[in-house]
Amino acid sequence: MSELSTKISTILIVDDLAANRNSMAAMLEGPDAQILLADSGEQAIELYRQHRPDVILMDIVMPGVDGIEATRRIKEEAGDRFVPIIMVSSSEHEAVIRKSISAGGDDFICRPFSTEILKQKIYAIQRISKLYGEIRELNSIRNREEEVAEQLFSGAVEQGNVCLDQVKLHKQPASTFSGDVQLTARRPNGDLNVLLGDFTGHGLTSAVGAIPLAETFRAMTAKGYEAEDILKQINSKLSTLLPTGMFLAAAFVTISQDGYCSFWNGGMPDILVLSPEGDVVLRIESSDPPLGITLRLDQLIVKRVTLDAQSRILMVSDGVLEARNLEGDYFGEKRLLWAAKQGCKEEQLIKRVTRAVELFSRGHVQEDDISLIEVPAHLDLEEAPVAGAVQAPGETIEEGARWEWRIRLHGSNLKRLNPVAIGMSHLQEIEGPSDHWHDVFTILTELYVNSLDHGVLQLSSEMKASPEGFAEYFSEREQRLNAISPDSYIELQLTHIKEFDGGRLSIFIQDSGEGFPFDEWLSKEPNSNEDAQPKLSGRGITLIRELCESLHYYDDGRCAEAEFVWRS
Amino acid sequence: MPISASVSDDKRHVNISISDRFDYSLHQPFRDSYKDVKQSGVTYKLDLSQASYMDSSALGMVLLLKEHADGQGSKVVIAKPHPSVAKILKIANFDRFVTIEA
Repeated sequence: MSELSTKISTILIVDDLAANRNSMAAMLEGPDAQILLADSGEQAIELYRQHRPDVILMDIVMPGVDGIEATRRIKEEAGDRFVPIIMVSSSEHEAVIRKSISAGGDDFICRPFSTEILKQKIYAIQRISKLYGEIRELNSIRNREEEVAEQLFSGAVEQGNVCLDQVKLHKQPASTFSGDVQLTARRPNGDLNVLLGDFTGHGLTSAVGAIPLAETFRAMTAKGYEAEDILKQINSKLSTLLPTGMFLAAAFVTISQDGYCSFWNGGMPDILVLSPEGDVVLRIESSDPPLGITLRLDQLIVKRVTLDAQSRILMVSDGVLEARNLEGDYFGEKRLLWAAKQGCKEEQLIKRVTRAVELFSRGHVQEDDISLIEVPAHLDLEEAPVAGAVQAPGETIEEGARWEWRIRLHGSNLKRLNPVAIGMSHLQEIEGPSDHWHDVFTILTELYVNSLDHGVLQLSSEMKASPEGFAEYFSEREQRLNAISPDSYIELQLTHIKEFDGGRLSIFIQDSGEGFPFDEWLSKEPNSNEDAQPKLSGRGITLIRELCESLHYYDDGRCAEAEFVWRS
Repeated sequence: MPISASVSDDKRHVNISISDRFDYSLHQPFRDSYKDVKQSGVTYKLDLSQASYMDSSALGMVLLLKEHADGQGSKVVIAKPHPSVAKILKIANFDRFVTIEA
């Protein structure tokens, strides 16, 4: 037939008149064409099913199932496979042409026609058919590759999430790759960090930032850093990495073991805190710009509050609020709050809200990624999952081997840096991961907070007795930190000595504050109930004494030394 | 066209107005509206009074315009944002990067 058809083309000729069928068959006959003949619409459909012809020539006017109806049915059966159909008619009425094309016909030819015209029409339509097949093939390759990439990607990003029995995640991407990222990780002391992020746009390009985001979030959480440090680090990483115009809106929640929650919101819809009855008891609005826009992001507004243990925290991406229905209305906050209220009452918050969005937007194309995270204000904890102690294979460390690490932070560096996290990071690097570091982190944190809050900043822990006082305490702390004198300092020193089957860690901490009457406190037995209202940060000291082999204060309370012994 | 741009006679003012939805579909025409303006000391006024919606890609496009302006010693002003757009700018705290005139 032509240079296009290197293989044999199967051509189905449909006409109720034998004369017409035969004349067309004669025109097309040749070594590279296999001709099939049907004398009715019904038979055409039947032969289409059996032979899947490359081209169909369809007469329009036939008794019974006519050419229009047969075309409609064949196209319907073919689905997204391209079956070219050329409609053949003796009438050139516009209405006939319109009906043929709208039934699914791809071309139209009017009798009488020459052999050459018919051949060229078939040639042209096969060229389109070939292109169509190539696009289909490319699409399926792309889909396969995207699927594999997506699996790798979600493995790297979201596989490491923890606490999924209590934190509920829901994500519905608008395309294979989602620009929304959901991360959870535990600090060494058991605190839970949760991040819901939304990269600009969606699809592959907006997903590239997710891997460095997840790595930074996990590594810094594991080292015990707090929200502010983690967010600043993510910001500086993304600012350097992402092109202008791409950024990450994010919401961050920490559920602390101490019963308070910290919140930060940069460019996300309000984080909602709901009572068990489903009423909004607190909303955390966006207080900062999204991350990755500017390196100059000095002061992040992290909000700390104590919440009723029964409260639920709900984080959503804007894809929830901006889901549209067929009329073009947005789902909006009113519907969200209503669904959330029902959901809280039924104790299936996420399920209820996602269902409400689904029902609302039924029939409308999903335009943006939809994601939700539900976090309880209080966690029921099993042991914090920390990797077991490892030693490089074949490596033996001599008993008595010793190292020291020391840092002294002055003035505003006390505000800028967290020596506990830095120290933990060194400890983990030198000694490898261990379950015991959980305890060391607690000890270091308690000692450091005592030195900073009560030593250097002279804050009274009595303020923390009530929820209002708690907030006041942190705002006062913030103010004093901002006005910190350059003479203030805290020194932290770690000395580790290898012992048989473990080690001994001596922790020394010293501050420039005025000290405290430590005798009063140390004379009390741990766990004693005789003084239920300790004057000092009593809980902290009790905890340290329980975890350590020894704890000594001297220099009027300005110096503390704790010994921690671990056995693997 | 949901986007229109004009340059003043002294070439010191570029006015870009957007109507209806300000989203990724305007990426190319938005960029075209300013990319050939090369001199310094220009005020790019982005009129969003007629824009009923703005998504995060559009926020990104504003940052690209700002980068273009910063690079030539010019400035960007967002004028009269429609209430729903103002809300999005506020959530993203964009007033820290760009002047927003009510």
